[in-house]
Amino acid sequence: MEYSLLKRNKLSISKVIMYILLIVFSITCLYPLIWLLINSVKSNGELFDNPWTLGSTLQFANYSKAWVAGKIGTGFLNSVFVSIISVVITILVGSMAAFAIKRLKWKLSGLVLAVFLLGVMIPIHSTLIPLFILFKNIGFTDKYIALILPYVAFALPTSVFILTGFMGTFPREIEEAAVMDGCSMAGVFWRMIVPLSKSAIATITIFNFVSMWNELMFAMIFMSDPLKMTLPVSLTRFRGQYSTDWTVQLAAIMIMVLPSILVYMFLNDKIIESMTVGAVKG
Amino acid sequence: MELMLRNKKTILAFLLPGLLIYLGVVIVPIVNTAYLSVFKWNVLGAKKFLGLENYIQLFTQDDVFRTGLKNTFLLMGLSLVIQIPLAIMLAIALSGKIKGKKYFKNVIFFPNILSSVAVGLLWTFIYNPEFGIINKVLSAVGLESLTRLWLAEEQTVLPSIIITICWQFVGYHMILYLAAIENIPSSMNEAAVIDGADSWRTIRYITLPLIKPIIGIDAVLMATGALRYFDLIYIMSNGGPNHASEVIASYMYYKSFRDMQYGYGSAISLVLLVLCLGVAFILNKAFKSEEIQY
Repeated sequence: MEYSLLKRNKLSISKVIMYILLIVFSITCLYPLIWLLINSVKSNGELFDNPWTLGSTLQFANYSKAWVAGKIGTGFLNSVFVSIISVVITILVGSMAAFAIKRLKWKLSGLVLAVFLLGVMIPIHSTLIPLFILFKNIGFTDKYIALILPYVAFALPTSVFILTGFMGTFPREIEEAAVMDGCSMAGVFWRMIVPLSKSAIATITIFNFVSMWNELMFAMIFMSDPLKMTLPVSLTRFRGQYSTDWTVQLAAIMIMVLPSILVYMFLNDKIIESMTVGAVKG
Repeated sequence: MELMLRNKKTILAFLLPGLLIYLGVVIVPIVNTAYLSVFKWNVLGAKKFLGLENYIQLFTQDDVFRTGLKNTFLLMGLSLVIQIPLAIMLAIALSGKIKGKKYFKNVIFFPNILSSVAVGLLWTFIYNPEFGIINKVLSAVGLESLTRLWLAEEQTVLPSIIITICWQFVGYHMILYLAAIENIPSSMNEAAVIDGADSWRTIRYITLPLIKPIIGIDAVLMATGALRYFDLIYIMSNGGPNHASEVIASYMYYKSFRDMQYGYGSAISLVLLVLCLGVAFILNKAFKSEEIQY
């Protein structure tokens, strides 16, 4: 009796420490964003006087100024376009390659998979200069394809890894059954493999979209036309032009962050799972 | 059926689109980088063969590169030392019977999905000497002497950025450890409690040894991530002031796309590639342990 009482006491002390740790840390994560929101609707003067509370009137004009004059709107649409096209191509060629590697029978499939997996370790920096020179020579710079190609190529290693892992769990008989029913190999792929791989495809869609949406280095080097820039680059450019217009800058940051917050509110479980699954199984 | 699965044309039709994009955009350029790295080539002039001259210059004469190398390893070391223990503590806290578990998990992971440009700009405001949160708080509690121009002083710039990096990514590592801890069969913890172990001992002798393989995987991820790290450095300080926060990746960018020295830049990026592969190999060996049987 005495023993279990002691036990309970100790447990509650460690529990209190744990709560404190979690509360302090979650406030640290959240507060900068609240600060951002509050100050993005103020005037510059109010930010200097008192960065803690809302100003006298809400300056929503900061947002329209950032969206229009700062070309944040253009960047936003470019990002949507580039990310969606890249994700779709990644899913298509990635699941085709995974199907060939895992479901079709040939000697070198293991080696090809290993070559794909090697890509996980390769930093994009070691491809930048040759790609830049190549794209410049064939006129790809300032075209969307200059981002789409590298985004797809660097998304493939992890995507193929997850898809092959998933397709490996299907029973051998499914191709046979489909072929009996008169399917060609393309039919097997579209009608059986793709629908069965739905959850793996959802996973790679999410984590590839997040990383493409946020990608900076390729986007900065391969796109110099302000009309073709993606959002991260528009934002860095915007800072250069409006360097003293602090609260308009904050509004621009908010515009970049807002879609992520909204999507995260609804899909947080799936997003967390998608972004960490590649690591754990690796 | 066998014949259909072994049909060469089918195999190539499915494999080639992905494989060609990958080989053409990832593998071939690496070979090309290695080739360019033995030339002096400043865009306008002709390529001039140098042999290993670029590498010799990097390691023996280039002080900025040495600063970058040192900073990169500092970034890597501090990331490991700060984030792994913090992520494990948070994961252990979350793995207990905690109210609001889902809320804590979601909030702490959240910075991961944000664009590092947005995070970097936001933290530039937080570190702003005039109205930033840090200096305002320090002045408010009477520690005015500790206020700094955080991102403009050579001593404080790199630590400040490293704190931001940890802020953004610790939630990711927390999730990895949380998954590992929740995979430990509850019978093991119960057995420990019956044997009279308190929670600290349970953590020390049950939890930590059982998540060791995940610590290994996570260390590789974190170390190779830190080696190639670029975004927040570029946004928050652009390697400055006076190259004080330069890392290998930012210096590679600077040399290649500001100074337009493609040959020299290629040498730097090849060093980076070799470091990534080397560190991954070493850490893999260090943490290699037998499969755990429950």
